[in-house]
Amino acid sequence: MAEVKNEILAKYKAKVFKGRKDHILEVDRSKEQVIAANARAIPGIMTNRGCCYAGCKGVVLGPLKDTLVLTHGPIGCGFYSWGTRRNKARSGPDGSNYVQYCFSTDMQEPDIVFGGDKKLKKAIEEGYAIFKPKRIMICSTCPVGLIGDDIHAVAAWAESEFGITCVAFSCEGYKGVSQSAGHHIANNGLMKRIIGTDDSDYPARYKVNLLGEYNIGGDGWETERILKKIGYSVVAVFTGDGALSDIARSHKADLNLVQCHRSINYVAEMMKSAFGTNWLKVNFIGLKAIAQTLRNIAEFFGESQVKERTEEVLEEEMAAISGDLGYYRERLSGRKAAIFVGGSRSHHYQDLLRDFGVTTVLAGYEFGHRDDYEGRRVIPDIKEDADSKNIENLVIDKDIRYRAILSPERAEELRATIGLENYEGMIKDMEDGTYVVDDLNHYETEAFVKFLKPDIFFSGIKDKYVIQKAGVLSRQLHSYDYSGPYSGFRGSLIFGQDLTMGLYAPAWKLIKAPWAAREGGEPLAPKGGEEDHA
Amino acid sequence: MGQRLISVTENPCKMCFPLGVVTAFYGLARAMNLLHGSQGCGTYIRRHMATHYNEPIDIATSSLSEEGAVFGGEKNLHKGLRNLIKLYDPEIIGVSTTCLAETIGEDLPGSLKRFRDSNPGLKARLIPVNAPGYGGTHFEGYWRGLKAILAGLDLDPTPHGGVNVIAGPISPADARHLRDVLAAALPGHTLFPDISDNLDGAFNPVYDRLPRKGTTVSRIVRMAGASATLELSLFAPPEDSPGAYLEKAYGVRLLRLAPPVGLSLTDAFMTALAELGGVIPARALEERGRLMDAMADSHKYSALGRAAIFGDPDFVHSMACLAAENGLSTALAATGSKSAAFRAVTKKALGPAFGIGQEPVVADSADFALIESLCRKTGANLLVGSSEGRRLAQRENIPLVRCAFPCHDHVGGQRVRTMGYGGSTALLDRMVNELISAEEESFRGELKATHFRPRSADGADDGLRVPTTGDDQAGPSERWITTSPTFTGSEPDLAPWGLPGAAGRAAAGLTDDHPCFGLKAAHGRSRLHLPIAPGCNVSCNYCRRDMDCPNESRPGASSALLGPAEALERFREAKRTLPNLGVVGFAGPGESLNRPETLFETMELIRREDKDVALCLSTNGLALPFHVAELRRLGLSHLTVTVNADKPATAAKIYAWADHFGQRYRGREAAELILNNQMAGIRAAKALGLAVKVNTVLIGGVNEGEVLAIAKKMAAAGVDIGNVMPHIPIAGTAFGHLKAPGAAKIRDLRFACGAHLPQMTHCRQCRADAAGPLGQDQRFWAQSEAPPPPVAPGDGAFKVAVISKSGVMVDSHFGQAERVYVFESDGRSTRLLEIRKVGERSGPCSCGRGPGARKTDKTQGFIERLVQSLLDVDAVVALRIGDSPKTIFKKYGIRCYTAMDSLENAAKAAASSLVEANSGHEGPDLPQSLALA
Repeated sequence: MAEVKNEILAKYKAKVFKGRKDHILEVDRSKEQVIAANARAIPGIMTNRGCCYAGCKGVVLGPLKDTLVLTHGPIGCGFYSWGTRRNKARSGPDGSNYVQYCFSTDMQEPDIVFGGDKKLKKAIEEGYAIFKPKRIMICSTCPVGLIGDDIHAVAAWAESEFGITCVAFSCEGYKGVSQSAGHHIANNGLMKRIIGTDDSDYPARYKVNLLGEYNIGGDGWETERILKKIGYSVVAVFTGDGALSDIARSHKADLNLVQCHRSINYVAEMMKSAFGTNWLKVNFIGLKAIAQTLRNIAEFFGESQVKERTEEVLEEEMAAISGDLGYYRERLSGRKAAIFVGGSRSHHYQDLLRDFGVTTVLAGYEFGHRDDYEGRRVIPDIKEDADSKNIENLVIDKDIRYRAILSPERAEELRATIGLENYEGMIKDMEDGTYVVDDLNHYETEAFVKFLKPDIFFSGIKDKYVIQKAGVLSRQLHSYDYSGPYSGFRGSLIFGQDLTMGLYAPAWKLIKAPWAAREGGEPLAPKGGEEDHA
Repeated sequence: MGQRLISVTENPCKMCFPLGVVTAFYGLARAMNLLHGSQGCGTYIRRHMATHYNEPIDIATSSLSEEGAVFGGEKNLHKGLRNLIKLYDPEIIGVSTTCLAETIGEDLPGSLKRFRDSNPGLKARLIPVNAPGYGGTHFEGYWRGLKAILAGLDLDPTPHGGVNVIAGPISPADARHLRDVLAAALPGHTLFPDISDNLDGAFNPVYDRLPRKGTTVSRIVRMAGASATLELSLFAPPEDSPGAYLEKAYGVRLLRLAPPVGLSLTDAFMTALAELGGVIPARALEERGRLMDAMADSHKYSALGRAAIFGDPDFVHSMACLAAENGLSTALAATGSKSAAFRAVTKKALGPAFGIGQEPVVADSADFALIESLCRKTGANLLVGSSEGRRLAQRENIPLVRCAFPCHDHVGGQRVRTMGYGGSTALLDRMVNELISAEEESFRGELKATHFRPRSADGADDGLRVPTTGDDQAGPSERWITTSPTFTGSEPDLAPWGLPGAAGRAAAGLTDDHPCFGLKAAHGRSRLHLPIAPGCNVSCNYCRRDMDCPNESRPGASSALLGPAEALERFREAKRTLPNLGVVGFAGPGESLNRPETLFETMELIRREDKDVALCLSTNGLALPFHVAELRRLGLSHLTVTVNADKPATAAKIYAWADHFGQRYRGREAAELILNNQMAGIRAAKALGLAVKVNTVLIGGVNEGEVLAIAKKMAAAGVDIGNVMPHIPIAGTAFGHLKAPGAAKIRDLRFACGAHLPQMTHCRQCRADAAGPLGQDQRFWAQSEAPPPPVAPGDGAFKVAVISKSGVMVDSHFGQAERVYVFESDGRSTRLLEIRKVGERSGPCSCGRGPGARKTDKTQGFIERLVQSLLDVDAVVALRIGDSPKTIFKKYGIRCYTAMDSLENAAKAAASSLVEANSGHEGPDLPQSLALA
């Protein structure tokens, strides 16, 4: 199979070849495999990556419902990050819900020339006059850092002027190598300014935070439903349907559950250092994964009633979906999938696909780091390049409210048994002979579809139509093609249904006009359809 | 908010400059785009265009990083170009700057020259475009892109007699239409650009990553030799108009026309084609005839329309022309672009509005916040534009015709037709059908308001019955009440039990029966307040939401909530206890009309029990116009509305927000809504013959100046009595820091107001659960602070455990118990011994009967603990009880009953049944309300 990689790379110029070859590997679990990741995208080859602003405003801060997020910059960036990630949110208890809104300073040429901070101040004044928000987050776009607008000073001014919380994020698009830099900047801001600022009592047992769950298509709601059913209290969600008022007291939680490792592991680590909060990598996508996750959480708390309740809920939930699950598995089993998204989902969805008997032949992250592929153990070996160095790494001291709820021995034991504070990466869960590709580009997508012939390609809107027009089913895993939730027990069925309806859509059988002369052979149609008698 | 905001853009109605440039290049054959800047620009624009066109969108970037931003981006740009050429082999590349490249001052033409110099064999033409994101909108970017293409190629001015047709940013389907029309009518033309196939390709398993359709470079080069240019845009910026460029540089005659949308503009286009030597195919006349037919068919519906059109300047102008020629008024024409020409030309094209008696509003530099507020102001009932209007459409319940870029939530944005006779016909049908649907789907709400009769006692349906809640109430005609509903003809039908005494008298203008309306009754008659209303639809700044509504009740008090059955029970008890009970009032603890179903049900129960007692209601008036007729039919005689302001600006200080038909209004909007609806409701109530009192809470420093004006206005509306109440500041409210107005101030104001409107001077600001004559409140129910002295039961009394949530009725399944009331009774007299609290539990009711009942070990454990805690009693009474607790109780000889009665009655009945059983006489004659479980 090595020729697949070679053939794809052959199209590149020598320099690009050198740059890309280490980002593509064929899985061989007998070896310690190393992949190149989080490197600069190569200009001109149609990367799917976004920018630092997209990671900070679009991903991490965008889903917060109780804060007015103000984009400081020309209009485009604000517009393009307006409601596009399908982060769902219910109004908070005070009725505020800013998720439907887009606020921008819409900078014009004079603002670039003479400085934009006056307009920013005025925009905050106006925004405050209309909405009376308790919190405002300012996110800057490319020109802001270059023309020297001091957005942090404006934020400080707004705090004293209006008595609100106002935090500025210097997340100019050109920082870092992808949206990943923006995640880090957002994480830092939340840690410095929000987490731990509300010390009011939180009288509950089994308190957890859900980190890296952005409630796309309602995923977070299904996850919360399961957690609450078992008896956990969810203090704060970072950040899907999330509120800064909850995040302010997230340090009251006993355990941080990390769903998306890439975008939020910084908060998990910093909260561990500051408050002693343990964290656990979880996955609520895929049934076996959920069971493992729930058992791990129960093991963390260690009490028999939690464990028993966990088993009860697992049994009940599985019983409720088993009929439909069998139906979809029968229809999907034996298919091949390729996944290329984000910094965590490409791993998570392999678990869910496996539940349906679907093999993943190709998986890659858009903006993952080496630890997302190879596991956290490689973090000390990752060489920090110029781009990463530009993103501040906060030094976190122990807070006076630090509390370790595990004894050192127990913590050690849990590290070994449930992988506490660890993530082992995607590669170890993949089969030999499958492919891992970092920062897949347009051309490579096309080439891999041709060589590996997956039945389903999970990706985003930018490459969806390349794939779909090649006759291969393409589902978006960023926005779920307006479907979802896919998480939890109930979400699994929706996922199974979406795949089944996609693969068995009657349209695939009608591609060829019966009266047209054959030209260029048969189209690449997905297998399936014929055996559908339902 | 009506004011025009300068610095904050709330929900933009425009996209960025480079998006327009990229779109222009997509109309060229074998062209690619490269954005010189951060890769996010490429990603965002690709994402955005792909969602609309449902086509692969390839936009390369130079992926500038921080290093490039600081030291210059030429290295990245050259690398990007090399890779793009190697992978795609394009014939022409649009190289555009972005915010980043412009801000760091990249010398794009110089950089491209250096690239050409170092790549001598280069075949691809490189077109530099200055495209700062802050240079305008995507609309201006589009024209800049087209002009840059002409300026960046070596054009051939050899005359050839052909005509250039330049298209604006239109849909691929419209581009295809233009192409077909021109192919038939005008041989030798050049359509520039032509996005029809590149952005709306057919299903093709062989993906060609380089867009090969569209205008070819060789044709573009010949544009300088054309005899004329027809530019289909009125608002292309003069400095970036490709037609103007060709005219200036090569002397090609320029003809400008609006995009051919609608009959008149298509006529103008066809005429121009004929003048330019074209041959109009006979088919066009047939299509024109069909459009005429469609216009005639739909004129009666078109005239209902008040359209709000938003989007690119040319799109908005053309759509407004189409609307105008169909008699469909344009209430609002708005563009996100900054364009004085747009304002002037569009205004002229619209003329005076058709049928709404107000000038249409034309706005540029608009965002959706402005569009939304103007929609409300102008009463728009049809939105025409991009899918970004969907949030506005949902909030305002106005249908949206998606026919512009971007269309993100529906499919088919690329296939939308607006141009030519055929496209206009399809579009007109879509617009008109939305108007018809809105009309057809909202008429039920109106019918309900005038013809609804409740079900009669025997359950027969004797009238039109529609749901009391639902979207049909939110039809456009009801959504925004600014004038009072008129009630013509005979008095609305009363409930089947006839005109009650008090209501009849109130209708005749008598107010003496009510202690709050007539001084005579003030000290003689008792009233009972029933706290049945949870929650509120308005947030008053002097209110604390965990306490009773301060509009009528004493601030700071809080009353337990009752359901309709419990309220009836309390009424019965009050009637027994209170002397001279003449009035039953509904005054909280929240807003009675927030959940009107509960109120209606309670009123009906009480009216059935007592035909004479007067029913009165306090309300903030927000929902009053929608329910006043129903209230009247249910026998309401007295109404109190709290009106705290005369002017919206003052009201905006007093009310934080108002919830109306699922939408939360704030600030001035909320204020106007509240004041308008209050007046509409009050007028309607007077028209229906209700006695109406208006409360005004005097808030020091806030509304002092308006109290008199309110009294005058109310007097003019026919209100019977006014009541100025002092604001009692409550800590924790926005007005908590204000000083309470003194008695002298109140007295003076009451005196001044009294000249216009009789004043109630004996207000006691009661609690929402007050009972008795004014000033002599009594409470007599289970949770009261001073329960009536218990009568000791005689010997042989039984201990009976009764399950209840409210403390009034047996209202809980055993498995949902929150409190257990343990009584002692001998079957005659009964005494409450203790109230046992039951610990928290989770999960559905597990008594085996409740909704979602399910047995799990955890709930099982809860039941067992509860049972264990009750083994000392002789009987258990609950609304329902499951088998497993019953079995255990049985084992211990404890009897289980089910009942739906007051606690005391139930306990007494159970005890009496036990007495019977013990005496060996147990028979089937259990009290009606009790059953052996």
